[in-house]
Amino acid sequence: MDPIERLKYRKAMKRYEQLGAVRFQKVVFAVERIKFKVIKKLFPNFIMHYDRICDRKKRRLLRKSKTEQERRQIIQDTQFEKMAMRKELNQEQNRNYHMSKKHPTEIYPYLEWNKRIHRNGLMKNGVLIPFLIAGSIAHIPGCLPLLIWECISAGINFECVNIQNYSMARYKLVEERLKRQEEQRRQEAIKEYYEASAVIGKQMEKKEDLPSFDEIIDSVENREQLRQLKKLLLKETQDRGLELVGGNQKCV
Amino acid sequence: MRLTVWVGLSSLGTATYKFVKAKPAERKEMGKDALVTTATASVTSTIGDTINGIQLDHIYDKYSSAYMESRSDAELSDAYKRLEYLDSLSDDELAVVLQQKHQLQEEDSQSTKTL
Repeated sequence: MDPIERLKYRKAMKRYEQLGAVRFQKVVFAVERIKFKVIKKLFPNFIMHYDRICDRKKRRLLRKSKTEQERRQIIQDTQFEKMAMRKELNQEQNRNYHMSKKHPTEIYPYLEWNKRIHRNGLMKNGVLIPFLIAGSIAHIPGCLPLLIWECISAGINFECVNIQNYSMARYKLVEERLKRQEEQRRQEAIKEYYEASAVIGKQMEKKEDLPSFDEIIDSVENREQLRQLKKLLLKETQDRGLELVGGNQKCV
Repeated sequence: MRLTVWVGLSSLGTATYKFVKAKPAERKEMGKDALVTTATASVTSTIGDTINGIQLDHIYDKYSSAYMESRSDAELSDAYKRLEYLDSLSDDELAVVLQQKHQLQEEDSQSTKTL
């Protein structure tokens, strides 16, 4: 990245920081923690309902699909969507607030998507607030509480857009490095775990829904695949800071 | 790469045969067509080969990392115990177990197709 562009992003970051991006981010993370606690406590079947919504959307899109490639893409997108939601619940992290260590460049489209949502919300607030001010002045019942609500909503939307702008500028500064790291990690993973990845990938391609771990283990064809799958599993548990207790008990 | 060479050679061979069999007036047009067909076939198959080769690795890596991250701690723990057990078997025992599993899977998919 040339120095002028770098300076441009640094200045932008400073501006967004002054508008409260870093401070408001703490509020966002606190709300995020509460959200996951509430989901896990009060909605234990959340994943089941989420899967149903994904499947309904998939069936609707499949009815409109014309080619086999389109069909395959729709099924793949649904599979990734279900896996992404499970990952969010496992890690208790929103995918659009936190960068993945394995695929850091994936976050940028989510930042844009989140910014778009809050920008549209801000536009809606901008349209409604003048009418509500006029209604409050004219003493129309209900306008004042709605006005207060819309003002709070506008403040939140503004800060959320600010945070996304801050995160996007921060991302752009390190984008090249992240792409290199991601590519390096991918090459290392392919070298070490290709056999295991192929076992999982082939099962995913065979099925429309997510295969269970048992189905994946059942489709292993040789010891090398078994060992790589085990290594991959160990790597995942290490990343999560888990300790696995192995066992030689018969569980075929 | 081999696929590229095969497709290129076979389309060149077919074009040459047709060229030899054709009348002189037709040969002029066919000469041009044959070159275009061979070139297109080679390029298309090269692209197909290379893209498939690169993308498959990436797709499998993307699938496997997303899949692993989506599993709960309990699922990972159970899967690890099963894998440990299977890895502790001798080569012969493992071959028998995997064979049985694949047979069951085949029977399952056959019965699903029948239904």
